[in-house]
Order: sequence, then C-alpha cells, then structure tokens
Amino acid sequence: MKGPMKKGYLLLLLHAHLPFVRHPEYQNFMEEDWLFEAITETYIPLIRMMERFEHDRLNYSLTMTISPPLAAMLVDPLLQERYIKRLNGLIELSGKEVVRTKGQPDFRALAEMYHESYKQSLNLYKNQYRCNLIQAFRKFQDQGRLDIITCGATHGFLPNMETVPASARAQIAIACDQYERLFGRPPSGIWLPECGFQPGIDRLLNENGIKYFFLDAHGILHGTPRPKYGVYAPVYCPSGVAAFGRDLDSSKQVWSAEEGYPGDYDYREFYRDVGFDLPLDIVKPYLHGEGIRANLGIKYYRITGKGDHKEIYAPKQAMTKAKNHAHHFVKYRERHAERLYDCLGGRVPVIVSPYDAELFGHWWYEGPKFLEYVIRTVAEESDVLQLTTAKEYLKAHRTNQLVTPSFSSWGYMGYSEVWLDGSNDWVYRHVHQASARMTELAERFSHASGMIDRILRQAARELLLAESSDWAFIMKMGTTVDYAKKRVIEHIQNFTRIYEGIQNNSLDLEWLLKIENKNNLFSDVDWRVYAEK
Amino acid sequence: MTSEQGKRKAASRKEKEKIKKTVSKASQTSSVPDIELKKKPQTAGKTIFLDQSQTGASEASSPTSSGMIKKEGLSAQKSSVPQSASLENLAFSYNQTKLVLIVRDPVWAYSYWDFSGETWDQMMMLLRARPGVLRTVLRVYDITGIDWKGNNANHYYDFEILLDAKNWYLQLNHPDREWIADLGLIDPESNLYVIARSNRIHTPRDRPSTVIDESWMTDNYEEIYRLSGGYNRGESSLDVIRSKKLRSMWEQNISSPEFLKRTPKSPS
Repeated sequence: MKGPMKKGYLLLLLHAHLPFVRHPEYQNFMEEDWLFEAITETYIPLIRMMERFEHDRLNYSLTMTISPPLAAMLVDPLLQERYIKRLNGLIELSGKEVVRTKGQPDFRALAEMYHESYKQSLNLYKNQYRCNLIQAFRKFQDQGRLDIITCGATHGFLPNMETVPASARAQIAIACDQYERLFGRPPSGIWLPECGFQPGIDRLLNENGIKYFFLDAHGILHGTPRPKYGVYAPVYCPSGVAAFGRDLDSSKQVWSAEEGYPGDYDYREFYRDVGFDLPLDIVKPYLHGEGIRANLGIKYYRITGKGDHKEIYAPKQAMTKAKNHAHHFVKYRERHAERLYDCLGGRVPVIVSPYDAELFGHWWYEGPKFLEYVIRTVAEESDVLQLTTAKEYLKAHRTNQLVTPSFSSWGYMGYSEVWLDGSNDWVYRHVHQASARMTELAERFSHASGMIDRILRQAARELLLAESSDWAFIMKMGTTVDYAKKRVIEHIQNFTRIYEGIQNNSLDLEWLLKIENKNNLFSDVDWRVYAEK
Repeated sequence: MTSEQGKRKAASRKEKEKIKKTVSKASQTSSVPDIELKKKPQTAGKTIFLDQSQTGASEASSPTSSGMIKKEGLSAQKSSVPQSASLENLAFSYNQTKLVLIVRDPVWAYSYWDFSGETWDQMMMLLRARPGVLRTVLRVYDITGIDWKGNNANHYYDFEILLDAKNWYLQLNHPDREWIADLGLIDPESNLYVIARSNRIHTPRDRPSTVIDESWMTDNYEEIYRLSGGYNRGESSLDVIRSKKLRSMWEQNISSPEFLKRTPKSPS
C-alpha cells in the first residue's frame, strides 16, 4: 500500500449475476430481457465508468463478481445478436420520440439523452468490444484495478447440497474452469452464491486454488473461536482460505426503505416507462409478441413524491443528488472507520460493502453515477479511507486469526429459509436424486470418450441448471413462479431422460442436439468432477 | 406440568389436528412446543430395522436400484409437492428408501423421504398386522459430540408425522447441536421399527462462540460485535430490501405466454 497510513480500507464489491436465460426456440423471449436490460442499464454504465477512471489515471480498486451463467450469456453469439437487435429497437424508438416530443422541450431533451446514450452503447458494445463485454471487464482486471471473482457455476446454494457433496464440488470446480478460459488466469476469489456457507465449504475452495471469499456478518461473528476484530478483519478458515465479513451498515445506508438513497424524490421514477405510458401503436413494435406491455427503459419522470403525481425528470438535479449522496456515504464510512480504528487497537479495519450489481442502474438509474462519485471521492479526497481489494489487503496483512466461520447466508434471517420453504422445498428431492445419478454415471463411465462423453456433458449441464438458487428464490418471492418451476422441471426431465437413455442404451440424438443447442453453457464441462472415487 | 406447558400441549394437539386436515398441503411442519417433555434417554424400547442396510451409523443408505416405480404401485400415498399439472411430470418416487435432513436455520431442519416398493410392502405388512396400533414417527437423536454407533445418542425426540406427506419441518429448538433421524413405526411397547436412517446434520450457532483464542483476546469484544452489526442483523438484512427491488425488477417481466402454454411432456 502506498501513501500515508489511512484509518480504514473500503472494499467495494459488486455481485453481477443473472440466471441462465436463453431460449433459441423462440424468436424473442421475455425473460431474456433480464439480460438485455442489465447490459444497457448496469454493465455498460459500469464499463463507461471504468473507462473514465482509466482516462483520468485514477488509482482505484473495485471487486466484481461475474457469475458463470452471466459470463456464459455475455459471450453467447445468439444473445449478442439479439441484444443488438434490442438496442437498435431502442435507438429507433428514442429517435421517434425525439420527433414526437418536438413541441415539449423538456421531454425532447430527455428523448435526445436516451437516443444519444443508446447510440453510444451500441458503439461501445459492437465496435469497441466486438459484442464481448467479458473482454471489457478483463481489460480492467489486467490493468490491476478491477478484481473479478467467480461464483458457483450456476449460483447453486451450497448449504442445501450437504448430502450431495459432488454437486457442491462441481459448482466450484466448473466455475473456476470457466473463469480461467475467459479471463486467462485462475480466479483467486469467489462470491459464494447467496453468501451461503457451512463449515467445510472452504475446503472445496482451497482444493480449487481459491484464496478468499465473503460471508455475511454473522458467518464471521459466530465463528469459532471468537473473531477478535469482528467483521473488520478477514479470518483464515482451517483450510487456509480467507473469509471477509460484510459490513451491514453499508448496505443499510444505501438500500434501507427509510434512510436509503434510491427513493430520493429527484431520482428517476422506475415505474413510469413508455412501455406502459404511451399509446400501444407507438410502442408495440418494440414489445414482445402480441404487444404485452413491458418496461422498455425510456422513462420521463422523477419520483417527485409519494403520490401518483409525477414531475418531469431533471438529469442535472439528479446527478447533483447522486454526488451529495456519495459524499454522505463516504463521510459515514470515514466516521465508522475512525471509530473502529480506535476500537481495534490500531489494526486498520477493512469495511466490506457488497451489493447486487444490477441494482445500480437498472433499479436505481443514478446508481452507477453514485458509485463513480464514491470511488472518486475516496480515491482522490479521503484522508481516512483507502480503496482496496481482498487480494491487495491480504498481501499487506498476512497475519490473521484462525477461525471456523459459522453456517450463514445473506438471505432473509441469515440462513436457508429463503431457499428452503413450502414454496420451493419440492425441488430438493429431485435435484439430489439427479446429483447422485450424475455421480453414478461419472464413476461408471470414467474413461468415456466420444458420444458418451458428449452425452454426459449435457447431463452435467442439465443438473447444474436445475441447481440455480434463482428458481427457489423466485418461487419464494412469488414473482415469475411458473417460469421458475418450469425451468427446474425441464432440466430435471432432460437429465432423467439422458440417464434413462444411457441405462436403456437408447437416446434420441436429434433431441440431444436440440437441448445441447439450447442449454449450451460450459461447452467443455468436466463431468468427471462428479465422481466420488 | 405447569399451566403454560398445558396450554402449549393443547396448542400442539390442535396444531396436529390441523395438520391432519391439511394433508395435501405442500409441506408439513412439526412445531413441538412441549419438546422438553418428549426428550428421552435412548433406553426405552427396541430398535428394529426393516432393512438391515439401514443400520449404517452415519449415512443414509442408497440402494443401487434406480428405476422409477409407477404411480399406481404407491396409490396409498399422496404427493407432497404442489398439485400442479407440470410438477406431476417429475417422478413420484425414485424407488429408493431414504431419509434426508437439511438444515434450515439454528432451530429448524427440513426432512424428506422416499421408499422403495419393497420397503413399502414391508411397512404395509406391519401396519396390516397390527391395524390402528402403530404410529409413524421421525425419531431425531441428539448426537452432539458423539461417535454415533446407532444406539448411543445423548437423547432423542419423537415427531409424529404423516407418512404420506413425504416431507416434514422439524423444530429442533437447539442451535449448535448435531442430529440424526430415523423414520419408523412405533408399537405400544415402544419398539421402533426403523424404515430409514438419515444423514447427520449440525444446526448452526446463533450467537458468538464461547471459545476464545488466547493469542487473539480483546477486552471490548461486545463493542466490536455491536459495531459489526451483531445486534441488528435481522433489521438490516439486505435480503428484505433486495427482494423488494428484485420483485419490482421481475414482476414487470411476466413470462412469455407462448412458453407458459407449453407443458413439458414426460420423457417416457
């Protein structure tokens, strides 16, 4: 670490993840919009932010998960092609909006803003990075500024795999394998899906060369023996892997319903979108299929207040707010660091502030700007705080306490109940069975090549996709429940059909080709990792 | 029995009756407020295994048979999964006798079970031989710190269950303990006929450890715990807020109708 001694480190972490949603069997598919919206509203704005940092030669540190299913989607040619189509649609629509709002200067200025921004996005996406955003993130990592960490292969919630350890092992090993292919080096850190940990998982991380991971606060606080520095210093697990604890105040300050920033009246209103507000004939060409109303991303209003009355969005005013909020956030982290510094007896505390990346930009339009101001303020102005990554921190502080962290997650109430309740518990008997069968196949065909190898690769993909914690989460939250259920059922059925096909020595190859083409992530997946012996 | 315990017991009885009436519910819970009354040393009655392979001390058995059994073979049972058309496309049973425990939080565990056709027939034989006498239970053993030999638990609790439910939530009430369970039938002489034995689990700690490393001691741990948010964990849990945001993010994207109209067909 260079420069004068600071009183605290700030470790900002963005967890970027979306479930694998890819439906080549349809011309367009609504759930694919999750990805397209996140690219336009979150990933591209973050890349632009880091490009500005690069241009200004800013000395910053940022950590980011790119989950394996998200990475797989970002490099997928079909989804890339569809994203360009979607973006071209938005360029066209915003262009029409510029014309339509001719007599309304305020609206017209916004329409022009969107139009310009979409055109820039297209240029960045298509020309600058050749449709491959992984290359963009990799560039910032190679510059030594961004620490990209991995996640479970399909974001499977590991504690629920206690009776099928091969599945937990595969979630880690397959993720590391994909990471190395995409980023040209093995990952040194991981964000455990949903921060789900139980003692022993650290061993799996160690076996795969992972050096550090992150836990919710109580995972550290309730560890054995008692962690001397609470969540403000990492601990070494018995396997030697370091665990960092989440600072709860950091999230509360950003997201709390009462004190959180995104609800400020000057910020853009999420719920007023032209997809719902404008006459159907204007927006229909940009909506799905039969013209079902949906968000398109062009929004003209600000939150304004609690009622239905909404004023027009004023970008400058909103940006000033974002800057003020960033200063407020940094000031509180500084105060906290100073208090901790005294309390920890001179040990420099590390404040770990992790967030779901997609909430910056997609939900909170000004979020990326807020983040940029936070990073710039700490990097350029703070006498108290220093930005860091886990890698940098561990390099500077090699001596840490040996603690076995406690079972924990960052879900509601801190354990497994989000992913294990009456709405989703039926999933586990089937997923566990498929996992045991995958182990059986991996052991039986350990020397397989050719067709059997190809079939087993698809079997592993189907099992992995069924394991995504996203499906259980959606069932629990009651949002797109039918879709989530169908996904679990589809992958379990595909797996079972492969398994039985192998048993009966008969498998419909045309069908196999179809699902290979559809569920195509991890092309070279090593299914042998499922073998126990 | 104190009046408080009496009330709890009555409540528990009501709860159980309620559960019996809602057999088709997605999953069942056993909240056992009078758990201390049921706590027993492992001495009374014999433990008899229906299937000798189930005696394994630590692991649920996994017979190699893997085919699915047809639904009509187990017509006496009801599925515990929500009765939706599409879920029926998954196997009703995998024709394996097993009992699985999954930790949910410091005080609750989840269990699910499945039977092979053979086990089912044996159970039916027993039940027919002594109609109306046998009770189905999950016997949960506290085996904290024990090298489990199958009969040396610290103590155990019996949770009366409905076999048809195929899954049950168990309120174990004790964080930081180790558990193993038997699914079985109990006769009036307190003999337990074991159908399946579970895996071993450890309920998480819900408070700071009492173990302190001498070389990492501090005199103000409570303050550090407080500054770390240890006391307001629940209220500042990210997920409450995060889920609201995700909800709004996703509720806009109702599933493509073409997809929903399509019901996957059974692989057979």
